[in-house]
Amino acid sequence: MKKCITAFLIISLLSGCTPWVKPYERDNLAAPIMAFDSNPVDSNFMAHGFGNREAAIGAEGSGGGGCGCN
Amino acid sequence: MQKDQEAAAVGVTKLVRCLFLICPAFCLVIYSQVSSAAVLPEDRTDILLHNYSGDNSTFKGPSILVRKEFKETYSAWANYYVDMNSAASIDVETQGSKYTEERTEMSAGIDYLYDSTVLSASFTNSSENDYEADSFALGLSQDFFGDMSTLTMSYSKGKDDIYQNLRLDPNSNQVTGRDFRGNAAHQRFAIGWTQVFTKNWIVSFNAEASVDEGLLNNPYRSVRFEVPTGSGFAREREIYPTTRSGQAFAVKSMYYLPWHAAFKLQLRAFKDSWEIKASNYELKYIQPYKEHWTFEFRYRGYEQTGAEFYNDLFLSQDDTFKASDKELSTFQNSTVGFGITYELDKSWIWGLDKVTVNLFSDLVSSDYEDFSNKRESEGIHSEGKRAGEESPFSFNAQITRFFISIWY
Repeated sequence: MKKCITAFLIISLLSGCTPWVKPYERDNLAAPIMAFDSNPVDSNFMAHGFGNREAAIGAEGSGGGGCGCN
Repeated sequence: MQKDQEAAAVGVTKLVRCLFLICPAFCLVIYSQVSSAAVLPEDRTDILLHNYSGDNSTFKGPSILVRKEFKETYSAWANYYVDMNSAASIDVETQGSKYTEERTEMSAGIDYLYDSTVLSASFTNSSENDYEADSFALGLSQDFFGDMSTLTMSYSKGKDDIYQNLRLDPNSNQVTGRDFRGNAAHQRFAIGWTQVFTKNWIVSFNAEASVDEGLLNNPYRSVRFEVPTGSGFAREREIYPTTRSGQAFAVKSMYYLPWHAAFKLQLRAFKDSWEIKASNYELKYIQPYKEHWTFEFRYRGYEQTGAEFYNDLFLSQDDTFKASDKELSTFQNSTVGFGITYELDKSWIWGLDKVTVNLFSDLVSSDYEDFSNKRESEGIHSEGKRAGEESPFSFNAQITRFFISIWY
């Protein structure tokens, strides 16, 4: 997975050498379907659930405190 | 190993301090590049009901998230979230008895917008009858280069008080008191960079360092060790190291497709000082349909290796670190899910900006490599197998959420 992330980073940086995206060209980026987290109440709930059942922590958004996991 | 754990924790702490010094300096150097303003999150309220059902356990309850802007530069939010648990999972069934309990989480925060900078602060309290947790978080988000790039940083610190409930009858759900078992402290430092690459593609790179100290194991859980008689095993308490440090790296990409749809790809890699290595990926496709509908389909894959002190069945009783929690074993899971969103017609919402009704559901299938199905040798469903002869454990869980979102 680390190699995948590194490869993605390199490809992204190479592809990123593109002309400036002007504000009036950002309609598509501003569409609600393009939000990284369009439903925070749901993503917080899911992140908490995965966090309780998996050992990995972080870099994907917080799942709140506490346990709820016995 | 204790020294290794402490050295790793010190290393991460130094990294956090270093990043705290470097990042503000970096912000100052390129502050002159800032040319336009950031925005606060939208005003909205979400009312969610959730239901988790899997491995003879259910978790259900509401979550209400309210956010409102005031004085044009502030946005405050509050979240009230309840988990009502009824659990007879494999851990509960083989090491205790079925129980019901409730966890209440309350959090609140505020964001302050100044030109291209958003400063954030929040506080969270989580309360169960045997677990109290408080944490605070501080965050900074800074837009650069005409909003083409966004730097985010956050730091959070939390403290837990951990108890063990006492019961006169171990088979009863009636709690007669609780014993204090210890404290745990948690620190997280995250840094991210979001970049607009093209008019259809945006990518976010994130890294997070974590440090956990104190009582990190569940006081109800125990490990098995071999004995020559009876069912072939006996139990003793788990012993975890008292420090743990981890690092996670993630990439999130959103791509706009020409037929008005979006594709999301998310990758994450994680490793920690307990020798756990984990990775996951998620693919999501979002497709609006006609004027009111939006459909989502997603797949998530996750895998991890076990902690170096994990074992399903120890050879002997001793005082070294030991754990048998399935969360620290080698396993993988996959999640398949869908979401349906219906946006109500403007004529129905009496002056509100937007109202959506949402139904999301996911099926999570978990397969454990070295965590055995102990129900075959213990508990009320025992098949009479000896410890070590059980088959690997696996289970499915269905997670359903119904929520209404209101923008105003």
